[in-house]
Amino acid sequence: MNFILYSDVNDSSISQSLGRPEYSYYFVLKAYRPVLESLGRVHVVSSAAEVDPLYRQFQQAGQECLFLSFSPPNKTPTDLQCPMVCVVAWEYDSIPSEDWSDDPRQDWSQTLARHGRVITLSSHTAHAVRRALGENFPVLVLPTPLWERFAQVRQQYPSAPINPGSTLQIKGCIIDSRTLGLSADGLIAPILNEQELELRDLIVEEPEPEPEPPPLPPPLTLRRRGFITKHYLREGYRALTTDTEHRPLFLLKHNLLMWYREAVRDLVPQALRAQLTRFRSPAPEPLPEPLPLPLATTVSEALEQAEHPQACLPDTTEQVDIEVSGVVYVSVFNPDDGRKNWHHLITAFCWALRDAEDATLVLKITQNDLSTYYVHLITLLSQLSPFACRVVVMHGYLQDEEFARLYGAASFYVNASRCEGLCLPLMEFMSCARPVIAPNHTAMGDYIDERVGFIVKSSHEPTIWPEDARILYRTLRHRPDWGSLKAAYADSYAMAKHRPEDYQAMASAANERMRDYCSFAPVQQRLAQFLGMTPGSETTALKAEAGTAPC
Amino acid sequence: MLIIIHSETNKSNIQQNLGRPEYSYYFVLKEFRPVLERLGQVIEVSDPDELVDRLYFDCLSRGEDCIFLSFSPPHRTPIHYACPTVPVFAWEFSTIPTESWQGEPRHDWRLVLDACGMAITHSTFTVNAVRDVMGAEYPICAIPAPVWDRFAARGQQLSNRPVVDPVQLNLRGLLIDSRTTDLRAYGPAELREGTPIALDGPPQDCSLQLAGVVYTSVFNPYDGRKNWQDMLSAFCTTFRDTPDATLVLKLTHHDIANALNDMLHHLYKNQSYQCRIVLIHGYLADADYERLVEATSYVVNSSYGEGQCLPLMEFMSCGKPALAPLNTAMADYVDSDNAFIVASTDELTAWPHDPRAAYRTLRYMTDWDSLCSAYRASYDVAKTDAQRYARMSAHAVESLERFCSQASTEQRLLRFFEQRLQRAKALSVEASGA
Repeated sequence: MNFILYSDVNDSSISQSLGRPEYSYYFVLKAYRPVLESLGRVHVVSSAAEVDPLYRQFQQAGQECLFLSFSPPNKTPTDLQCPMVCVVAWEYDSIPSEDWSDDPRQDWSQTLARHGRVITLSSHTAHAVRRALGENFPVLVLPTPLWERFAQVRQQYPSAPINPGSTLQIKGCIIDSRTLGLSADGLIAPILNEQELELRDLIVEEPEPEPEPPPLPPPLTLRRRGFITKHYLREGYRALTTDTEHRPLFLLKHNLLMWYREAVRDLVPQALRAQLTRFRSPAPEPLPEPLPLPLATTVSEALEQAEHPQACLPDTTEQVDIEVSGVVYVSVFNPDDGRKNWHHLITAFCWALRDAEDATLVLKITQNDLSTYYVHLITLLSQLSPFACRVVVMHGYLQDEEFARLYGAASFYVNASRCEGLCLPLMEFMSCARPVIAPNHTAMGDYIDERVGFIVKSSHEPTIWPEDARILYRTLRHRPDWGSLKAAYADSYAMAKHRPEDYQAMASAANERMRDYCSFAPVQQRLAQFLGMTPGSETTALKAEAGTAPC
Repeated sequence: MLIIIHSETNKSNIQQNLGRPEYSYYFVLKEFRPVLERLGQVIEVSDPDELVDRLYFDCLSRGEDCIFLSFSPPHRTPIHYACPTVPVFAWEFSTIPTESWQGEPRHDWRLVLDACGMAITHSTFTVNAVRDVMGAEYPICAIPAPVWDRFAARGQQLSNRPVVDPVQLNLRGLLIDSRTTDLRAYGPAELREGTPIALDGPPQDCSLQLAGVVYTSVFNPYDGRKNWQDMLSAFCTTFRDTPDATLVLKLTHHDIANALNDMLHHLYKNQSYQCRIVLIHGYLADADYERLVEATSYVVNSSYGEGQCLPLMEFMSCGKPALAPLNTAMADYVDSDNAFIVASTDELTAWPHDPRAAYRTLRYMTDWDSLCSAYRASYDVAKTDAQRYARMSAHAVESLERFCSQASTEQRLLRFFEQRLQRAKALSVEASGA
């Protein structure tokens, strides 16, 4: 048997697609590949146009051939001669089954009916397909085989409820709530006699007229930080009270960012310190870009500077590291992905464990552009402060060994999504014998129960099919129960601290669950059965070690 | 005893303030007034700074007792008067503000509650939230606005049939009926067709006929707690194929256009449905308001929390069973014998007037499935179990009588004032003994 594989996203485009909805198809293709290789010959094509010529070639050679399309059905070619089957990742309770535009491909039920069968990643998706196409429609539920891949991590980093201390590294940047100087009061300006304040500041801060140019920015003393802080508080207050064409929130965020940059950034990660030390000590030579302080004195000046918000972000080009310990929760997600519900992930953690100094939430972000979430994140953490627990955000790219350390550092993995088509990171951490906090809805219903973790309850809510331009409510997603998420944090923390044997039982159960659910042999067997083949009869025998690259 | 009362919104500015955060304090004051008049002489002042202490010293010179009831949240309650001051306030969050901002120390309610020494709120829930920080002995009393008598009297006149026979009511204002509205004009910009409704025109005389199983809710659509989005989507989802289910939303706000556009957009998004949604904005004369109550099978609430919720109390006092959550103030009068309970769960939020939006308290997020179930179950009861409906209706009247009749309010106020006098005496004995 010959398998032709195609995904919209491929090796060369994956870096641009990181975090986009369709990017997970690429990982699914990569994860399926070894199984397919064990059942036949695999040919990955870079364009759908290559499929039929290849098909005819095999036909002439008298060989069987099947095209597996790793794309949503609406993006799957409809004019191919080669027999095909779609691999569908889907997280809603119904599949698009209406023709709402002039493009009949938007109606998945027609495309799938034509193929006569489909491969899905979860029972939840299978159920959605069968709701549209009938209870007897042939659907294979095929999770991505990945359990074997984590044998080494399991061995190297045995599960521990309390992490004695490990160093995480990343090429990018690390945002640590402990060093940000967070304060909710910093989000607004106090109502003071503004003139008086200004006068006082000027009297205190105005340097004696000094002849020598170029004027260096004053050192960041505590008083100086206070001055900068007051300045941006005033700007923020103006943003709220002055009529401009810009939304107050935008101006507020801008001022928060500027304040952060000028008043406290040097208290933040190591990567930035090098840059900022030149402002503390007398510089031996004129600075290429002196920071004028105060930067903006009017909203319009502030706005001009806001044209280049990226310039204010932390550097992301350095190799940086951080030490974490205690009860460590990890989650991996893209903040732009509306399904992830990451606000709850953070707010429930900070509220449930606000007095627990040894609780840390590590968020590994799979989004290339820091500017898309940075201000949002800092604002959220400020609104939550003060809290004794710790939030660490890792932005950047992790090498395999660095990712292994992250798996190893985790006491628990956390997911609070509204819906999931599969959730590879959750499965990966479970394969590393990490218990979890997660809902048992959508795809997670196949592998999450109270033996492997703490369940986040949820109710439904109406939503649209993501591609539907009419934006009509046609399907359901889940509304995670914040109270239950908060309780899960508190309960898991208590277990880690006081019932290590229960923790270990849960960790083993998570590992066993993944062994049964997504190890190579059962996945291979199900696929072979679905395709009417006998494993091993045609090509290679079972492979113990599957893919190599973690996502 | 002289009872001085004040709310920032009053007779002269209620029209402009309709729907603003503090507007409902005026309605509460109005409801309290007749009961207060049974306990003393009542004077409503519009300028407390000018009048409260003058009146107080006047009383003092005559040897008459005097108290100032400020119908306002604690951070807007004056604490610099010689006259004993008691805030009467509504609150629906799990914690009271214990931090101050913008240079206003009263934002930390502990300061005000300490200075006043006593307070009145409307629910057991808020009494507990206050005692959590002020101590279990802090003299605060849950006294809701006494709306029961008026509405129970009305309710007795009305037929309380679960399935409404056609009722015609007239109103002056704006009426939007999903059955006759072209919702294509409220879709995404690039797909819009048809003409949107002119929302800025002068009020018109409209007439509305209601029949079947009718759900009613009265609220200010800009009040973010009301969660009308779930109320609407759960209704449309549950009654997609049920033509005789109607949801009437009576909206109160002085400037309704933005809210209506938003609601029309949601009516568009929830398509298609055979049930009917009616949006009413405008004044209903008493007789027509009564007809709306009469034409209602159930009153609906899907809020994230309520300080007391006057419309819900009014409809239930009339004998209308509810769909409502069992949280905050509603836990004092809603139960499974007078309502279909909508489940809810904690969610972290900010105190509503905190400009920092600092996360410090909880609100109560609606369980959407449970709202759908409540619609379904209540519809089935209306259609098939008139006896149970009648029991729920009677129990609603009884529960609300216990909660907010004038008699029970009078008793609670009396006890509260006596308690105050005893405390004052004890303090003066202490002072003279020292």
